[in-house]
Amino acid sequence: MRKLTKYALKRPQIEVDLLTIGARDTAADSYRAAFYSLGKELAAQLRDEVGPLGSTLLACSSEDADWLSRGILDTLVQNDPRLAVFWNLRSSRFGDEELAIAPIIKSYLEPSTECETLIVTKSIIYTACVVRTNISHLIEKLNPKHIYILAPVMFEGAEDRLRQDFPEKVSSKFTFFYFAVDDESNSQGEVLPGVGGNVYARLGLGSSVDKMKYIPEIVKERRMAMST
Amino acid sequence: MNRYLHNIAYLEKKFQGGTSNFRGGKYEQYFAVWLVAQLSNRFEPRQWSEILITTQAYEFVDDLMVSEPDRHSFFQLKSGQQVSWGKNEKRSLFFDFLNQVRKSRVSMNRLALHVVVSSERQQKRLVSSRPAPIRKWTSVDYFPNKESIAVLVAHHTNFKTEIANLCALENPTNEALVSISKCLLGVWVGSSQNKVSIDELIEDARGVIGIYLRPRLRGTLQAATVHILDVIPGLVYNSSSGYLSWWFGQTDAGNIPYAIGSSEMDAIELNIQRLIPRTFAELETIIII
Repeated sequence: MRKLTKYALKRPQIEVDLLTIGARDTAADSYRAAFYSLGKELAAQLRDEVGPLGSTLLACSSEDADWLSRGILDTLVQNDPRLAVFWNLRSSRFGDEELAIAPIIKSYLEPSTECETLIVTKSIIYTACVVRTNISHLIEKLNPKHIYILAPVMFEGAEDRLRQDFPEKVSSKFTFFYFAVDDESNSQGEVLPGVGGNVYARLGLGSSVDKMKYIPEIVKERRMAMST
Repeated sequence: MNRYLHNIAYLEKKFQGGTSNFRGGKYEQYFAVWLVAQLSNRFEPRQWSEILITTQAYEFVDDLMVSEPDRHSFFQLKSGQQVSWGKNEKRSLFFDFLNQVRKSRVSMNRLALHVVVSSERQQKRLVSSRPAPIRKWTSVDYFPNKESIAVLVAHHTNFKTEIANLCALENPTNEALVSISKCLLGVWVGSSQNKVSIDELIEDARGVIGIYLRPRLRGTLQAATVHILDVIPGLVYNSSSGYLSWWFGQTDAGNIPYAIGSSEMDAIELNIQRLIPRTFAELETIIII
């Protein structure tokens, strides 16, 4: 059963976007556009509720960079957030989701001298394995005052699971922004309705192996801009 | 008749009860991961097949048993707040440890008994109150009781150090160490947990891509690959760990998750030599798996 947050219930566009990504027959272009729109909405809620963010870093997985993250960056353009993108190789070999891992094989991290706010985004937080890995990696290099975790859809209990993987001094910095909470999953480990199955396949990036080779356009653009 | 045989019925009950208790206990499982890491680091890989770990052995001190060529170690784990030796009554630590000494009479010189507790205060108290008849063989170890592997890596320096010593990467991140720890936990929980060798556990863990366990043999990049990588502008790389780590400019970094010399890495090297990338942009989709 899906539960929408109060914020999502007040904004019909969010509900439409959630339906778009949850439907199994949405074309890749519409699916991508819905994620971009949800990124903008998440950032708008963050901006409205939190206020000035200070120096900001936005972190995401490679498959979320070009749509969900771009929506966030475009909305927070006045903050000029820096970007971190991770290529996570997810493995659930042991069956138990508590033992799932998502080691970082490659990273793109724009340099800076300080980071007051860390925003970590993910299309859906289910086991929280990827988000945990990316936060863990970043807080070894940075010491943000605030960590905002943005996801259009969360699975029930994911927030607690993520918190318990960090010492209290880190997890106390977490604030979650999301629009829907789902509590059902199928035998393939997909949340229902969630994001309508495997997010990289639905985005048109292919299998979990193919998506590792995908270099987001936003990375290419920003890398180019930094080199000129 | 040996004295410990009087307690055989007690041992039967303890064995039955323990078998059902062990598998669910995170404290015991995390400690087993630490033990596997310590043993892997203490011994050479060629010796790993001779180091066997068992849980819930038919023993008085029975949570974990380690058989090494010249030592038998028995561990009793106590994660609760109130732990004492007791006064040699059944179910007391003293009773179990004393009977373990009696049972191990033919190999007493090779015997090591450990009680493992989750607070350093308790550790000190139990060390100072060790009963004289078992003192020679008994030590009290500290291992914290944490809610997750990630928190254990973040808080327990000795645990982190042992896992880091298994990792091929220089200065591995906590995130990399959590991945190794979870894999060791996965292979341990999935094993028979009965006389399972360190060799089996480590080799099983190697099957998980992306955890960068120290390779048995440190391979070297092929000369043709080196010639190509050396002339790519802005690329810095290091292969001394047995894996290829790379950096580009101020922003990009990565590791190829296959050990140099493995068939998968050979295939990547072959691709590099076939496609001859001249820029990082051309290289990056080849070296990402």
